[in-house]
Amino acid sequence: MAHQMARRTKELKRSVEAALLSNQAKATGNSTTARTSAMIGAWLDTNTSFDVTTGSGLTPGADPATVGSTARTDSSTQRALTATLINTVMQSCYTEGGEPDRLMVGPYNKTVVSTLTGRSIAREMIDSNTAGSNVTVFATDFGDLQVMPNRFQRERDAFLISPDFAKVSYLRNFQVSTLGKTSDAETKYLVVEMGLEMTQEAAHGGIFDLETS
Amino acid sequence: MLTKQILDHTGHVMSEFYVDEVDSRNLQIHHKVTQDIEPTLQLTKSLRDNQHLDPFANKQSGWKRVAEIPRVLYDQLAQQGITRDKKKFRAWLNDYANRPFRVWEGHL
Repeated sequence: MAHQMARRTKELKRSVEAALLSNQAKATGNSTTARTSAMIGAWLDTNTSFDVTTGSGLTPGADPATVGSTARTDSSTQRALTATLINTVMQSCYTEGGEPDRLMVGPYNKTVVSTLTGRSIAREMIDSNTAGSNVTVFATDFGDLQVMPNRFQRERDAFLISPDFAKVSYLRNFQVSTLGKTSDAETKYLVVEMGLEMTQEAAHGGIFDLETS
Repeated sequence: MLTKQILDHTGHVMSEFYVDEVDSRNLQIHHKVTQDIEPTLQLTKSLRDNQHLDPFANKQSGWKRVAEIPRVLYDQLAQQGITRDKKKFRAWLNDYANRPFRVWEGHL
């Protein structure tokens, strides 16, 4: 049982991380629908970069219509992650008073970032396994940046995070309860209720609609 | 009885789960994450040694690659609060003992 509980706790922690980095809007919930908390995709509005390609059958990206209450709109067109995109959003954060020092990207875009400095030699030497297993530190015009891969976020998003201005808040922390016994079988359930407490969304940045492969 | 299960093995990082059943009422559970850092060390050495081959490195985008830190080591630094403290993190990067993880060797 302890083994199973430990495994399920890890599973739940992964779900929590995936939820925190998702594009989920808040919902108050009702008797048939569970309440939800706004997650990072639905929070970011001030320092964002997204694809705005328009045309027949194309949907341009858009920030949330109401921050937190609606999810952001994904563009139907994706673009490559570039140093220029990151610099632009970092500059925007800096102007707003934020100092993001982490860039969180999906595994594919971590390999893209690893070759950003324009070195042909780097492209040859970096394999995806090594890039995905490391945190790369860059010195940029706007301070040091720790670039880390995260496979629980959407590959099409990249987040510039100021850790001091976001945290996880628990309504109900991880807890275990025992369910009624059936014959000899013991059953327990594990529950957590949490949300992303965004103390200042303008301290962070988001680059959206990125290529995923 | 000790049982082991691999939870995850991605890239060079392996996450394992150990359950040691000391007796019927006493279980010891360990979660162990290991990483083969040899590819990282080879990568950083190659990048250090070949900087002269790229005269435009670090000039065009205003970016300078400073270091490649293995995930397991980064997690340890995070637990010690070093990664959240810009001064401490720079001091760690500037420490000569951590040179194997540096790509650009200048002082930060």
